[in-house]
Parts: sequence; C-alpha cells; structure tokens
Amino acid sequence: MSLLHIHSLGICTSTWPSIGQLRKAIALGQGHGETGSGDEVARQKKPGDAAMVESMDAVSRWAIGAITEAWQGASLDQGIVPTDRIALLLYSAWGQVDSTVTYLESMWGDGGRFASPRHFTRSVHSSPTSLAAIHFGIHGPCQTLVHDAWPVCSVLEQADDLLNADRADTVIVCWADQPSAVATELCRRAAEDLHRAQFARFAGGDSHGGAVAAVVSINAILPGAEFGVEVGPVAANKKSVGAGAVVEQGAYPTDGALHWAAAGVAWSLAAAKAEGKALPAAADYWRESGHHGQMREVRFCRVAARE
Amino acid sequence: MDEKTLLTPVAVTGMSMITAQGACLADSWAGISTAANALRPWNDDSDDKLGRLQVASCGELRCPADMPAKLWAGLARTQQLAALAADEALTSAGLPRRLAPSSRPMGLFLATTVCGMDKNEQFYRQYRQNPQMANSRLMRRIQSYEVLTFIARRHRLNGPRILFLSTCVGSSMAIGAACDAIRLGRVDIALAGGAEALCRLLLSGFNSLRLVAPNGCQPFDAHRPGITVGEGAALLVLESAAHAKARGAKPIGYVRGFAATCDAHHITAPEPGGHWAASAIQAAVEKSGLMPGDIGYVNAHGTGTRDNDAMEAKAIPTAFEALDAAVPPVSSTKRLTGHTFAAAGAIEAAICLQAMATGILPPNAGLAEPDSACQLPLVLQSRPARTNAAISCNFAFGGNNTALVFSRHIETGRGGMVGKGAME
Repeated sequence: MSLLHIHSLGICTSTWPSIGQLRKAIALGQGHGETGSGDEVARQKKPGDAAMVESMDAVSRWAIGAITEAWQGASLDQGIVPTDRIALLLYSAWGQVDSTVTYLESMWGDGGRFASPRHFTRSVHSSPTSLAAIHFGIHGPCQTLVHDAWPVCSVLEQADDLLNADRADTVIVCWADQPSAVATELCRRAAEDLHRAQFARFAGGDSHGGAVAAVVSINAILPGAEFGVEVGPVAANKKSVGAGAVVEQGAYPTDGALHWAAAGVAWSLAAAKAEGKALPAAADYWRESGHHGQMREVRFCRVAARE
Repeated sequence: MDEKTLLTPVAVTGMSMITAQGACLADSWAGISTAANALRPWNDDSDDKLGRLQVASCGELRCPADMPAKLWAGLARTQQLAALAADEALTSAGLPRRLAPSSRPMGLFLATTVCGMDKNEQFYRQYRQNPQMANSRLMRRIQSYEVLTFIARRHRLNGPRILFLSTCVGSSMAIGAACDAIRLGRVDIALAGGAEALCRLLLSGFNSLRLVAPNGCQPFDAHRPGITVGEGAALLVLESAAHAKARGAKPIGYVRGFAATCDAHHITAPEPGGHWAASAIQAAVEKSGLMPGDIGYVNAHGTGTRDNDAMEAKAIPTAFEALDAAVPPVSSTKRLTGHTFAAAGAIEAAICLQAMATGILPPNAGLAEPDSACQLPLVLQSRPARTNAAISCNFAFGGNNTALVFSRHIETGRGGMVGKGAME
C-alpha cells in the first residue's frame, strides 16, 4: 500500500463535536466530552435545508458534520479538485438503523398499509453516503463499505486502490455509526453467539456514536498534509510486524461505539498535533485487531506539507 | 499506476449465476436466452396484497452435499445464495471448493443490500409480539458482513475481502474493485460478485414507493408500470492473465474497463439528463483499451421504472455519441431475472459474458409498445450475433452509476498489443 497523505480530519461524535475540541480536551487532559454535544453541533454546523437536516438519522448528520470539517480543512470547498475526481468511501456497520426499525414497524403494523416510503429509502445502508454525496456535490465513485475485521485498514486500502487506479485524485474516507437502543438490545440478546470482543462492546451499555472523516491522497495534491498513513500486512497470533512503540487502543474517548477504530486513529493524530509531538517516521503505529488474534498496523509518519 | 497497467485485461476464468430462471449458470442462461417466463406470485405466508405481486424468486435452495442441513437452515437466504454461487464459480474455474491452506491468497469482493433481513424480519415480528419469546438466534445474521465472513471461511479465502453495500451497483463495484486489486498486484485471483435474497422489506418498500409492477416489469415500454423484485446471485473468478495462464485456466472472457460516477442529485431518483451515467459509460469504454466500435452489446440497467428508463435512454446514446460510435444493440434482462439489486451487476456481467461466448443476444423481454422517448436499438427477440465486447450498465439509489466493459478475447482492442503484452 502507498503512503497516503492525510490532508485533514473531521470528527463529530456524541462526545467530541470537532477535531479542535478534541485537541483542546487533550491539552487539558480531559478524557471525555459531554454526551450529546456532537449531535447538537452536527445540527448547527451543517449548512443547508434545516428540515432536511432534522429528517436525517443521526448517523448521516454526524457523517456530514465530520466530512464538513475535513472538507473545509483540505480546502475542497475552494474547488481545487474537480468534483468528479473526488471519491467518497463511507464505512458504517449499522447504516441508518433508526429508519430501518421505523420502516419495519410500519411494515408490520396495520397489515403494512402505512408502510413508510421515506423510511424505506433511508433504511438502505448506503443512504448516509448518498446524502453526503448530494450535500457536497461529489461526482466521483461513492462507495458504502463494511468489513468483518478491519474497519480502518480495509477502508484505507480501498482508498489507496481508488487513487492508484486513477479513479480519483483525492478520497474522503469516513467511518460513521449511531447509537441505537434497538441495535444494542438486539445484540445484547444475541451476545452468546457473538465474538467475545463484540460482546464486550455491546454489553457495555453505553450508547454513543459518531463519525470520523479524513481527506487523503497519494500525491499531495492538496495543501496541508502533515501526516501520512500506511497499513501494514496481516500479522497472526497478535505478533507485531513493526519495530516501534505501539499507540495502544483504548486511550481515546469513543465509548464503545462502532466507530471506535477510526476515532482511535483521529485521536492519535490529534494528540500528536496538540502535544506538538513529532511522529517519527514508521515508529509510532496504531494496531487494529481482527479475527483469531490477527493484527494489522496503521503506521503514521510526518510528511512535508505543501504550501 | 501506468497506463499499460490500467489497461491490463483481467481474465474471467469461472462464473456462476443463480436466478429465478435456474439454480445454475446453464439453466439461468437457457431461460434468459429463450425469454422464458419465471415470474410467480410472491405467496408470502401473510394474507395481504404483497402476496399477489409477481416476483422473480429462485424457489427452494438445495443444501450443498458438504454442508450440514442444520447449518444450512440457520443461514440467511443471501448467504445460501452466495454459497451456491461460490461453489459453482470455483468449480467452473477448476478450483477446489475449499482452498488448501497453502494456496496463494484469494480475494473476496462481495455485495449485498439486505443480507440477513429475512431472518431479521422474523425476529422483529416475534419481538413485536412478545419480546421475551423472540428467538435471539435469528439475530445472528443482523450484520451485513456475515455473508462475507461465511463465504471466506467456507472456501478458505484468505486474501483481502470487503463487502459493498451500494445497492444496485454493489456487485459492479465489487467486480471493479477486484480488478483494481488484481491490476495493482494486491492479489492474483479473486472471487467477486453479489447475492441478494427476496425479503418482505424489499418488496414492501418498493411497493410503498409505488414502483412495483404487479404483473412483471416492461423495460423501455411506453406503459411501463415499474420493477419486478427478484433475487439471485452471481460470482466471477477473476485473475491476472498471467496467473490464469500459469495454472492452465481457460478464460471465459476479460474485464476490460470499469468506471463509477455519482449524480449527487437525489437519494432515489436519477439525474434526468443522464449526464453522469453517460460519463460512467464513456469512461469505462475509454479505460478499456477497446475501440468503441468493438462494443457489440449493451446490457441496460432497464429496471422498468419511468425515471430510470427515460434517463438511461438518454445516457447510452449520449455516451456513444461522445465516443463517436453507433449505439450497439441494447436489452434489459430485468423482466427475465427480476431486479436483483446488489446482485444485478454481477448477474448482468455474467449475461454479457454468456452473450459473447454463445453468440446470442438476450431479448428485452416484456416490451409491448416501445416508448417513443426511448430511442434505443433494442433487441426485441433473442438473436444470434457475433459479439466481441459488451457493456453492462447499472444505476442505483443515491445516483450511483457504474459501467463494466468485457471482451471475449484478450486480443480485442487497439491492435491487440495491450492485451498481448499483458499476457507476457
């Protein structure tokens, strides 16, 4: 995999409404933000039709909130990259689960006579991607992805493929999921069949969610890239294939939501910047766990920023 | 990646197709090429109007001999369809159904929309009636990626894997992504395609949008009433030409080009002018290394809705006009297979490959009175035609557009040099 330049980051979670807030919190040594603040900010900072914003599920509001921050941070709002050369990859484990449940309810209730077409269209897993593409006017490939092991690595690899195959000049990668009482309850009930790691996530009871976004490229087409990221190969039996210090999972405030992995990456980068820490090339890395003790490493390094 | 690598054909050495026409490629193609009627009422267990709608159902799915019946019964229908399709694709490629642990990594690029929704619906129905009595085991299939995990484990595919949830363009995107991964050298061989099961949510959802044709879809007809909801699966075994040659596999055809664009227009409706759809078709042909005149068949998305067909009837001619070529024969096969959503791209890719291999163009079934606003050279009846290259077009909710270009031979193209060079 190539070295991907990370031009900007965006975050909008139920605890951290922006990268700036996250950096401030890191500087102040705060471990947690206020629950619910992310959604309020997502409602406020998303421009456009207020009714449209209200009608969205939280996952779409958060995705668009995080992408807005990344979009502006990478100066994509200045038209540097043609919109048909921008790709969007959105990873969401649950999609718009509230709409799905509402649709199922309307489908089973009253013999289905009042099945809600609005909730059906939003129950489609790719709806957050579509809404974000419409909002930002993205005309390149827009893909909705799910992976069973490595949410961060798989999306970064797919972004790398799109860039290397000349399908886009820059890719917006976004991980987004929302809390859902129904999803949490259903998963808890099925916990005996789930992997232990998943059980731990679902059994915690905390219902938070959010979105993390980044603008990446391989040729520094945009100004502002400070960090690069690479995904390492699969390593079995929890063995590391790198040589440097590990940025361990768990020190970031994501509260058990499914976007934990992506938020961990954002946290690592934000922490590095807030603390003025120079990320040594290929020394610090973040690892993502897969099935059966398999590990993958996400390695960060500083790259020369283009003026 | 340099231009030569971008233009490298990717060999298709195995494929499968499960549709309402048949439980294997041969049976499905026999029905599609002869325009057999495979539609039937849904006959759901509930007594309501949905049960009377015509759908393209695959009927009862037979448990593979090497799988315990209990395991089979616990799978979501999408997983069952994917398993049957994977078995057929691997066998047709001359590969074992379970790869040896020492095998080189094989990628898995899948697509679905509903995955385990049939089980989820059962659970939620029970849950509404009595939460305490609902069967939690039904919930094991709630996560979409279950189909990915199941196929990877069943066939011991230990290469990169990813699931595309991009509705009706999902499996085209999966095939395009697999080809990119092969061209970039990330993997030598991959299984790519999609599977989609009929479920109440899909049928009821499209019915709530008033988009379901009660008695079958009629793509490009003046009085087209909407879609036919279907189910099915198709998978392609894709590999680098060098890898295929090294293991002695005979390619069925080649993936030559792929492009994806987004309308960014509306969450369900296509951009009426078809600008971005045309852009995808044009880009796929340009990236294929083929001459536009080489294309002898277009498998249209042709869902049978007013908006899609009107848009597509503009997009295809616009693309070929920009390519300075005549529009080749076009047909939509949705009346024959139903709209299989995330599986549609892979099923129609297999139809394109079969059309080239057999020299038969499948008909645009269901057409009674052509829409004068849809000026396309439609294939009205199945007919023989020597076709060296074909395009499959797919369009989806959210304005996602894809086009895949296939050729029968590696030499087809600009002097054949690109393809021949890639073989060496």
